[in-house]
Amino acid sequence: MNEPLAIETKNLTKKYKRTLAVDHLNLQVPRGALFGFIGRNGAGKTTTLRMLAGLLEPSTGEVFVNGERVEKKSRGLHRLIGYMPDFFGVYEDMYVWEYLDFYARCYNLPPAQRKKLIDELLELVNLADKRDANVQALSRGMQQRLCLAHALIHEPQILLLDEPASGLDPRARIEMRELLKELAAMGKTIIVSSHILPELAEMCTHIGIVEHGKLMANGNTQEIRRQLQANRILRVRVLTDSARALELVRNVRGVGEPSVIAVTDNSATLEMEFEGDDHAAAMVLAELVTRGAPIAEFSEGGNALEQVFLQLTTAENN
Amino acid sequence: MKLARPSLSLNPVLVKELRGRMRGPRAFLFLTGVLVLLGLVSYGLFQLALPRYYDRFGGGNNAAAGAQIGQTVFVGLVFLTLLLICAIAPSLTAGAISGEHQRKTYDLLMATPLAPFTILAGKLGAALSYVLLILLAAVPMTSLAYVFGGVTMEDLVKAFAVMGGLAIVFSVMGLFFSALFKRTGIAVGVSYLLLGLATLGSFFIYAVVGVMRGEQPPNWLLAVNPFSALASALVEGVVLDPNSVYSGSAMTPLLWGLAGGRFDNTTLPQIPLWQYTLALYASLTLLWLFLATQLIKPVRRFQFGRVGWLLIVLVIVGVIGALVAVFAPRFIPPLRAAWIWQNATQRNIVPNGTFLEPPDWNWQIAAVAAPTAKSETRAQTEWQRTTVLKGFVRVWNPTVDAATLTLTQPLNVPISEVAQVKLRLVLQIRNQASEVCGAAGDECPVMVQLRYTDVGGQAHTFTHGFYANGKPRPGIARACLTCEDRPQNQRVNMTNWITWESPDLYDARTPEETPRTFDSITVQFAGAAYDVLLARVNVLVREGRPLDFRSRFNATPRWSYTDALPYQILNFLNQFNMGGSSRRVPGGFIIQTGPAPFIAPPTAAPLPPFKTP
Repeated sequence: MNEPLAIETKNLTKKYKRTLAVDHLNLQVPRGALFGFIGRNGAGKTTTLRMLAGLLEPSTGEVFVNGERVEKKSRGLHRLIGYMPDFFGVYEDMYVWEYLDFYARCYNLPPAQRKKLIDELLELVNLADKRDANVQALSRGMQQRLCLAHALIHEPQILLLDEPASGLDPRARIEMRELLKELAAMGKTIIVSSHILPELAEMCTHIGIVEHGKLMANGNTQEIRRQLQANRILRVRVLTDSARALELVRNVRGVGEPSVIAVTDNSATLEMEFEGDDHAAAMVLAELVTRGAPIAEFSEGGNALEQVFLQLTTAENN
Repeated sequence: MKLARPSLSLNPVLVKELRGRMRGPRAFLFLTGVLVLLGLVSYGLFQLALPRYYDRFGGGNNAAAGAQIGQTVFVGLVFLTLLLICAIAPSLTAGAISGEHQRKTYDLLMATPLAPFTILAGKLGAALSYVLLILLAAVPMTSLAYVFGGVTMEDLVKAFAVMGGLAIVFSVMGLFFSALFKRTGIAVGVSYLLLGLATLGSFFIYAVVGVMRGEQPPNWLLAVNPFSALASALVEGVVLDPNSVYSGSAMTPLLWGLAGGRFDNTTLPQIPLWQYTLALYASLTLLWLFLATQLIKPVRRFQFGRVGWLLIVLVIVGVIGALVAVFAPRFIPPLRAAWIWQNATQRNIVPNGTFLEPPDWNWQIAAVAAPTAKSETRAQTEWQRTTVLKGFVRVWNPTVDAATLTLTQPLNVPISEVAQVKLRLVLQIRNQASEVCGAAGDECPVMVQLRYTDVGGQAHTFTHGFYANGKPRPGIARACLTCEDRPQNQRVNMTNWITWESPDLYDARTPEETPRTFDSITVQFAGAAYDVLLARVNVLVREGRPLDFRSRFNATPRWSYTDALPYQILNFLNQFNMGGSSRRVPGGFIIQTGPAPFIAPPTAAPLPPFKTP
């Protein structure tokens, strides 16, 4: 824990004329983390990332990169951070290699290194065969990957990726996910934002959830999940009518008051709040079976993180 | 955090822009189009000018006709090129920054460590390289005009320097609006609106002021006008001098009017407009560049860095300095005299010195010092046969016998306060045979003498002669030593029109020698086998009290800009001008005290005034 955080913000705030886009955000991203920055559209994700990238001046608050405060004049920031915006365009009349060459020149890389790096990056993002294609002729997914390659050209320690999977088809999404895992394995700190939770749920080591510019949760994925296990939902489908089902399930240890959410001709689906880990869940199932309940289905209600997300956001809305 | 190392590598933005711009057939087609347009226009101008001047100057291999054609083509081409630059330069940069916004590449660019100024410089460089293509395309075309003559290398360099400067100005203007509005359409629109105001708007204001005042408006009203700037740069040149033989070109009134002078060529524009225009636009360009660097910074938009403050201070100092330099002298008593002197009008006191129309032409002709009756008769006969062409007179001795002819104009102009006196001649030595040099000692084919009386009643004569070298041949001197070895005489190139302007005659005077009256001016043509064209004889007098500080230069030859190396190079290049050029030639002088040493005043009965047959 003594190791400085890759990125830390203290009371980071961005105020536009009327709206508070980012509201006293205290974000902590440890080194080497794959950080999922989750929030609905308009929650302030992009604003935050732009401030971290030095493209937007915070109204108040501070940003620390590797423990050092980002001053207004610190130009070294550009070399530490690779940034990929959510919406971006490409230049006209440019070949793929020229696109990367341009940014490599911007970082003042020597010619020999430039050429080697471009080839390596194109290999990494799987565009090696498109080296001499026109950037405008690339598909959306290819452009996303090319943009990711551009963000890597100066070998930054920290990557800020704003919705890297938006607009991609499912297959391209999977490819992008694999790519991010590969980069994480290379030891880079990656902050990736999304408004779609499942996309990040599996792979992120850390998560921050933002809503209306406020940080609702921030930390290790497992930790957050555990903190919120009190609110896990169990879903049980019992092959009886609903009254009988309720009777069977009620008073099982460790679960709250069940509620009927669906009834069919010969079964009823119940949901109940549940505290505890997966062992406790197994105990619940065992008890139900010993009570003689004809269980057809026993599952966790929905994606846990999605629940967290929904809960947090709805609580805020109320 | 390490500081970025300074690097000598190419500007990445420039590389990128050039790769995009110069790729494919676009640049090639564009350049071809420009060349075709320039070629067609110059051919058209040539066809228009040819009959006009060919007929007027009697046809044949006439240097004056060639010069006028060359000048017409040159001026037309230069203005077309400027028009192209005005039309193209802002559009090349108006999308530079706004395009990054609209293409959504701005953030990617800003996330790089490139300094805003580097980005601007790259964009500007790429745009200017395109403009440079136009200028380079125009150079060979204007060189054709240069071959015709009538255009000096000085004019050429000046015209392209002014156009290059204006190209930078308009490119930076587009860049600034592009950064300001973030929308290419608006940036283009505002750029052209401003350009329109600077050109058409300033002409309109100029015209309105003129009509309201009922007199010539001050020409600084046209200082923002790029076309006026170019015109004034050319008007200043010797070819468009109101007293030059070339002032009859069709382009002269156009240039004259554009520069804010009078169309009848009688008044010089009050100020050298182009210098003011370039100074004004240079400050504006610095300001635009500075603001643009602030505008494209993603954060800390209105915080100036050290360089920013330095630039601001420079701009302010520059503007204040320019204002002081222009306006202060007239308000500061010690400088007021200098200002009055600077702005004193110059007037020509020699009547009939332009040989424009035969009725104007009223000089006393005398044949003097003719060694034999034969040659004297011959000279006079040839004289009679010689036509006074519109704009110049030809004095021609085709014989190998020496003959001397003088043209004298009595002046009798009393002078009260004169600050400066200069002689100006426009002439051409078409031929001078050095094989038949006489021994009379005064055989300059052309020699001018200005006679004046000083305040003590003493007579003085200012003398200056011209000669040309013949072709080098074994055993024959290249020039007549009798003319050459005198310090007041000067060699000029044969068959080149020259405009010679003397230094200020007052520089050589002592207080007692201050002229009281200008008595007469004489031009003497002497020698065997010479052929001289004389186009202008002017004595330019600037009235007002001479300044005290000028006595410091008393009688010492001053360094002139014509002594500078660039001018020497220009002079050298001028030798390759085949069509006969007009150029300023530097010259020294001496003033003889006492009666005229070489030429007697025309005591012989003057010949009757010349009449056209």
